[in-house]
Amino acid sequence: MDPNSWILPIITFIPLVGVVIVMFIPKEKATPIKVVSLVVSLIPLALSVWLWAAYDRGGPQFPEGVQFGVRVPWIPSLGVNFAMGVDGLSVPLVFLTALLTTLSLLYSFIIAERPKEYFWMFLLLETGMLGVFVSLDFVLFFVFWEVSLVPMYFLIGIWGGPRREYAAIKFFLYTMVGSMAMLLAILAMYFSPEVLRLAGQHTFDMIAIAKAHPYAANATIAALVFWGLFLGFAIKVPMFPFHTWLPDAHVEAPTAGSVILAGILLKMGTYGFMRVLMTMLPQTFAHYWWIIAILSLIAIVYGALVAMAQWDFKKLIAYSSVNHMGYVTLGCAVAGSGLLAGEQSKIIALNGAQMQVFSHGLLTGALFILVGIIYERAHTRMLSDFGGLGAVMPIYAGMLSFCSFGSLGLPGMTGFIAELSVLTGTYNASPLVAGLALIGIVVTAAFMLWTVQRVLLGPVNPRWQNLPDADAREIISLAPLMALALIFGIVPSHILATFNAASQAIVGILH
Amino acid sequence: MFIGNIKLIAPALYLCAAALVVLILGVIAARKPGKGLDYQLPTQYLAPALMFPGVVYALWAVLESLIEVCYTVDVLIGYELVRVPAVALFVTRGGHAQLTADPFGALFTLVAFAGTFIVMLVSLDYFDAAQPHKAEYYSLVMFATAAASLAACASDLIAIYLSIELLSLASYVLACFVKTDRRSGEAGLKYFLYGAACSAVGLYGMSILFGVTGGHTSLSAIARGLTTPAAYSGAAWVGIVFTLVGFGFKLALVPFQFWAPDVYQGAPTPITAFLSVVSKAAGLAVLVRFLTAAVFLFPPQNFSWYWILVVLTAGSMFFGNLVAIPQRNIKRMLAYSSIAQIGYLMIGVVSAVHAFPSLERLVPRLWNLPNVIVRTRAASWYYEPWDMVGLVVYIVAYMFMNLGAFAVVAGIGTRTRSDAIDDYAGLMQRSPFLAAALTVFLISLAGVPPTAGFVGKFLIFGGAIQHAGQNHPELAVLAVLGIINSIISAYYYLNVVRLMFFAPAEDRPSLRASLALNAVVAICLVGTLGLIAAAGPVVDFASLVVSGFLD
Repeated sequence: MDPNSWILPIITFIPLVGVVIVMFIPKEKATPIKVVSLVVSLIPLALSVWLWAAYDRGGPQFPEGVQFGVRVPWIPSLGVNFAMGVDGLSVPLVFLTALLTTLSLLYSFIIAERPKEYFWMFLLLETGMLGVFVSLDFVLFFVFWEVSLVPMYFLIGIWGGPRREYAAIKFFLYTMVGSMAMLLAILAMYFSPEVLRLAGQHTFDMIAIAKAHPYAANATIAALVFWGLFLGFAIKVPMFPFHTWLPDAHVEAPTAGSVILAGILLKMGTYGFMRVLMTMLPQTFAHYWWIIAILSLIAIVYGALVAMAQWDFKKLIAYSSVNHMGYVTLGCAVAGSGLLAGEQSKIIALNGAQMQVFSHGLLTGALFILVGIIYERAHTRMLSDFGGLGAVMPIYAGMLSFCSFGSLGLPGMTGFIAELSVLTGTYNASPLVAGLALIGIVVTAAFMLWTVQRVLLGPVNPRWQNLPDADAREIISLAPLMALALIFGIVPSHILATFNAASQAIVGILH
Repeated sequence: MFIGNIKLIAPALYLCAAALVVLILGVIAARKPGKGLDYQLPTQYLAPALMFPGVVYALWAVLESLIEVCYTVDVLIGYELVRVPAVALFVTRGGHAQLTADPFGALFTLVAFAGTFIVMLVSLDYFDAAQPHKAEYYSLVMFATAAASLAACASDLIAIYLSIELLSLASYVLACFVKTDRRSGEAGLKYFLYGAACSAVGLYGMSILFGVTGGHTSLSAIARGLTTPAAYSGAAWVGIVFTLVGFGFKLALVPFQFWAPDVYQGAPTPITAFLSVVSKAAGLAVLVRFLTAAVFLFPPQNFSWYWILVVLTAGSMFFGNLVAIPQRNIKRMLAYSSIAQIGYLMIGVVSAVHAFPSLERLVPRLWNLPNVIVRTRAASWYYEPWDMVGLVVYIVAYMFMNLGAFAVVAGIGTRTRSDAIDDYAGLMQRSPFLAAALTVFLISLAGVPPTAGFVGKFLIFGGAIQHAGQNHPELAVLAVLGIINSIISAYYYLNVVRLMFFAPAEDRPSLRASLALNAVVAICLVGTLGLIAAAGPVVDFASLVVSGFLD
């Protein structure tokens, strides 16, 4: 067997090994627990960097084929395999997951309450998230999808803010509604006659299902399956009107939990859009693309406006996530639409969507850490309480300005590339939609700048006169995120080429 | 009469003998508590020690019946030569078997045996060494298990009725075993009164079936009798529905669930666990066999018993889950939850009905074949991998997760003297292992991966969707309702988890679990978490068992 094919299972299950190791460390020994967890999380990070380097951009893309593929029978009689593999869509996400987990663990060294449970649950969460992005079998995909749900429930519920219990159960039930609808849709695809004809047996193999286009001949069932899957992914993204769990979960979650929620868990939804909805049900997607586009527009404009109205810093960032993820789903909608616009503009839109996924993971993750830093010191997140912190905490002020500018789409950073691509692609397809989406950009710029102003500028509130500036641990947690946002913003060609290969494969299915 | 391969039901016979040994030695030992025989060979250790070989024996019987089911034998009964399956036992004139020890029955026997073994270990922790009447207690549990095993194999109305009644009678006594507890007495009395009424209705239904099908008690003969014009009357329908009432009671299927909450709450916790798993497994096996062997041929225009089952399935899920939400007592909550769990299993049963060919396809062949194998030969041509596999896997998963949950509840109940859900607050600090284990069991009951409950539900819903695609849209509806119910159930299961993990621990001492309790919880934990890793072999094995049932 090709040794390369072991890399994905190793990346995925190393954190699980870490879970077992941490479980055997006595709970009183907080420091060893933290250090071991961090060291364990470095392994998938290093391997994912290697994975990206070794990944062949010209190589096969899903659903034609995958790279680093592994395939072992699991339940042969039912057509279930332990199948993993990556393409241009998933390689950056694997890296992003490993990176954000490591940085979150580093930032979480301040956790004093029940550190043992915290750290092993975090590692378990990492296994779940990585598994989602590398699975090529629907049963495996679903198992990982749900595995990532349970630790997050505990992270919010145990280490969260004052309304943590409410937020945790709300998060769990909302996501479970989506994933259960998804499960039924998966089963329906499994039993579709097209899959049976193509593969010779019923199978959960994602490549086989994508090639077969289940229920291409039966629009009614295809629509049912489509909306079942859509519900599962849209709740996770979250798209308007399924976003109501997000402010609660984000606000109540501990800082690192918010980082992972915004940085990775939301991306599982958009990953589902690109990997499942657009590739497996392309005709249905093209038929209903306008619904997704309208919901995305609402998310963009409404998310930005609601964010602007927030006085809680963390809630503001949470709503800005709704806005940012709107660009991702808008890019998907345009790329999968039945519009006559050229293939190239659709590819650009999808590239933008993928770039936005990556960029949002970096910058919003960083913003949540920045909110966490100020909350640790001031024990408040109310924007009205702050002011003039720029003079008190210069390093912090620099980092906050940097990330805010990145988040509002300043040229030179990833956010700009992403939004530009999405809007360019959208404009070619439908100038009206692009025009409406522009409103969101303006409002985002307004509230981000206003936030920076409210926190950093103006007269210093005497209460914060003696706040210490960001320390080394916090700077190390943030620096890689900012550096990547800048590097990929200035030299986007490499990462865009990775995205482009995947986009071509996805858009090519419909054309 | 042709006796057949008696080895196949030997586990049940062994268990009866073992129960007698336990009873006699236990009664002798009880004369001098703490000394002599009670000291050297305490009943509470003797019983599980004798039970364990029974579990191994039952496992062997499953394998044996997997081999035997491939063969038929020609036997001379009276002056007639008939060909019967090699797993048929006590075959009477006309080739009718009283018991059919096929792999399906053998597997349910194994579930009952393993479940009872676990229940015994829980009892060991629940009762102290000075438990009064322990000889009677353990021997009754063993007799009940033997009855459950026979019920799983019974293919004749009389055999079904006798084994179910033996199981019920033992259960009535066990439910009220704690004589000093008023609630336990109430539980026993309620169980007995409701049970007697439902059993009478069931028996009346059986007698009607006996009449309209021309004086037969064997399921295969009834199947044939139901295809004759005489059976097109409403009487046969009444007979079927009344019989189902009797089975529905054992399963605590809505609307025959009214006994369950009081009995579950009042009975000693190990017995509650026994009733929720072993007793239900037996009822389920009987129901599946009755539906698929006797009733499946019943004319489509009188198919309404099927729709009744569909409605009851949905009703059980919703009733169980919705009423479980406001419960403050964990045993009562688990009682309602197990009503809902039976609903999920019933989706598997309702789908299983479609694993059999329709009447029109079958009738031409019906008259040319020997009675016993009518069903089997015709059915095997339509076998598909999802049929009933979910049912078999889910009952195994259900055994692990539900017994595990009850084991933890029993262990905590004896230590804190409380079954109130509020007293589980902060359990994570007091006993991390039990709290974590209970979390896994509850999450499994909710059907969240990577647990056994997920595997079972996945297979059951998959089977339903498969048949939904073959012009049975009501099964798709049931699958959707099952999904909705999984979400509802997650709410109240997680409420317990929330209290255990999120609520602050008041300054209370940590709980010390005994070796037996830890062992039981560990066994159930391995089963609950390990099933998904072994899903391939498990599904293959279940397919073998099911194809044996059909073939």
